[in-house]
Amino acid sequence: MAIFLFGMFFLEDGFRAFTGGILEKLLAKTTDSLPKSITFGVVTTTVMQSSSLVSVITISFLSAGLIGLVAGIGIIFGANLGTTTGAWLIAGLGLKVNISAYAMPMLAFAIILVFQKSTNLKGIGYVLAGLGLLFLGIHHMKVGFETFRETIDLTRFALTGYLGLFVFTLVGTAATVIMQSSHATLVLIITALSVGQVSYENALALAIGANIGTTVTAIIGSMSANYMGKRLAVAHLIFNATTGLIAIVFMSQIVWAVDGIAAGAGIRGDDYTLKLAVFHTVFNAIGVLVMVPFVKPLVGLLEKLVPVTAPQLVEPKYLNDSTIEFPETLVTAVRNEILYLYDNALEIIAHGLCLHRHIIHSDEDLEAYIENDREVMEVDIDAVYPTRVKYLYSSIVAFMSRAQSEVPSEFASPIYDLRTAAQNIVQSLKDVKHLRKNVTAYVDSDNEAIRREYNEFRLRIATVLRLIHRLREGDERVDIFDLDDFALEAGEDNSVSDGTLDRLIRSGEISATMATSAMNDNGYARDVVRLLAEAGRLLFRETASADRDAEELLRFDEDERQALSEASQSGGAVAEDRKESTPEPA
Amino acid sequence: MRVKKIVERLWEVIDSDRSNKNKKIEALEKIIEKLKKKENHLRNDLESAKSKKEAKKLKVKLKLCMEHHKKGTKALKELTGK
Repeated sequence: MAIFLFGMFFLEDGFRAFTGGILEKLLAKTTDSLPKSITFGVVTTTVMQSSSLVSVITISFLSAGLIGLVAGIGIIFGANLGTTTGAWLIAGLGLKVNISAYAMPMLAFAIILVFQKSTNLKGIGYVLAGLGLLFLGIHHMKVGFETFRETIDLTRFALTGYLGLFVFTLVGTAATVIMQSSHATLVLIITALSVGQVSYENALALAIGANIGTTVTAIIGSMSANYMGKRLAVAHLIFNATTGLIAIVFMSQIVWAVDGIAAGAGIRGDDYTLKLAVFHTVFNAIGVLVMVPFVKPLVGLLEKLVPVTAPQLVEPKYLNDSTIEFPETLVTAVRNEILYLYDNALEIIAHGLCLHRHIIHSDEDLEAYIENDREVMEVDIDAVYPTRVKYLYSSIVAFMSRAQSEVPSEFASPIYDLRTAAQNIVQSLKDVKHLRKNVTAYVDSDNEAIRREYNEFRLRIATVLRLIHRLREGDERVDIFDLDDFALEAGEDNSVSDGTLDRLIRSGEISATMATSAMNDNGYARDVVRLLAEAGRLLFRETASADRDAEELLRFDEDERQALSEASQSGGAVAEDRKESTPEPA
Repeated sequence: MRVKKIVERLWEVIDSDRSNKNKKIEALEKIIEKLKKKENHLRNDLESAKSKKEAKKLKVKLKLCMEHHKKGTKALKELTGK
């Protein structure tokens, strides 16, 4: 049993090596409808031979916002069906063919592959080692039961009728809860059945129990997950318990159907191990057929059972410890969480600068809107910051610190970048707090010159927010280089460096106090643009390392920036615009 | 052609450096393609610019886009050796 369980660990580790990218891409393409999600669950569980691994991965994907609840439920349904192939393999191949003969060569090749540099080869090595140990485990269990056949007769404990059904269902559930693998319980049942240590009737009840017990792994996996992960774990429990109940209530009819199917498929009447495999498939298929029409009511029920509590504090939506095991999913979860942080900060930043988000996110002429809009918007940044941003930001930082020590080194850089993005968002919000004091004072001022200066600050920040929005929406007109370029342009083109403020003081259009305020606030505005542009670039850059490297190659370095800036100033595109729109003193 | 691709994929499984280089080339080609599309968008916008001011801004954007494109093409040539 221990060798078998050890094999399961290796198999799971091997498949985890492939979860980086391949599984995520497959998931995105195959979970847009319920039938596709079910097929995905069947196929992945058949290939990986572990419904527990599929359940835990699904919970982490769901918590990270990669898939929806209906897709998650579909995968769980499919995983239950896919796991029945295990019984077929053990009953059909494991007991009839001398699979232990293949175990040693598999282990030998596995060891060679495990020491290779390539992650793919390493993954294949672990999968081979897992299979080798599984084969060896099945063989030893078979031999073990055969040895005891002469001395110990477990059939003395056999119970018949509904009492036997309930008792052995409970035994199957308990065994699976302890071993954390329905597959292991099934191997135990099938090998015991093959040597007559357990009766066919009790073996069927044990299989039902194994199905119910396997939900415990998902429930444990969802403990640290958000409400979506918890909903999925409850869905798993409801599905497996309902399926088990149907199997118990209609046991005699299902057994009759199994006999018919077995006879039709050419399975001998006394080949109870294969008949158990047929039973396992039939009762899980019945469960899927019965539950599929009730997926929508099930979602409604789950929403009632696991409600979303409206928190006083804005809490993390996507972070949970189950994602730490899957670095690609972890990066997506953290990125989604920081986008959530950005959304919370955006509202405060926009309102702090007296801007409406729907205008920023539209195609409306920003310059004209800002020029004409004089509304002072009420927002107490000091009051909303702790509840809307600070708690969420602290949770992200704490989670990332925990995750950073666990993930492979190649993921350290993306996680560090995301951390910087979060830091920039929070810092930009703090700068807006300083800027707001004078923005609210001058946005409705009768002094056109100072109003124009502050409108210029608002315009720059609104423009970078619009660029980020378009990038997020996948607008073809923008790319991450636009953020870089805009930050560069906004940093160099300002009323302090082009002498506009001096001219306005000389002409008496603004007071020296106004000018010093504008000078300070110009610094804040420049920092907000730079911080937000950098945050946007880090959030929306490509996730794959090759794509990131390619993007880095195309970015301008300091010398190139300088040369381009000089060229643009001699061309005078943007700098001249400002001079044109700033009237000369009379 | 297909056989060549399959052989290349098999090499990539064994040789991670080769796989990384190919991935980088693919990524560069993808970015260059995006930049080309963006250039076309900007050229169209420039043709239909309503004011001198808008045209000037678009010209700066177009220039920057072309510079990125040029950098990308150069990097791609270095990687592929063509």
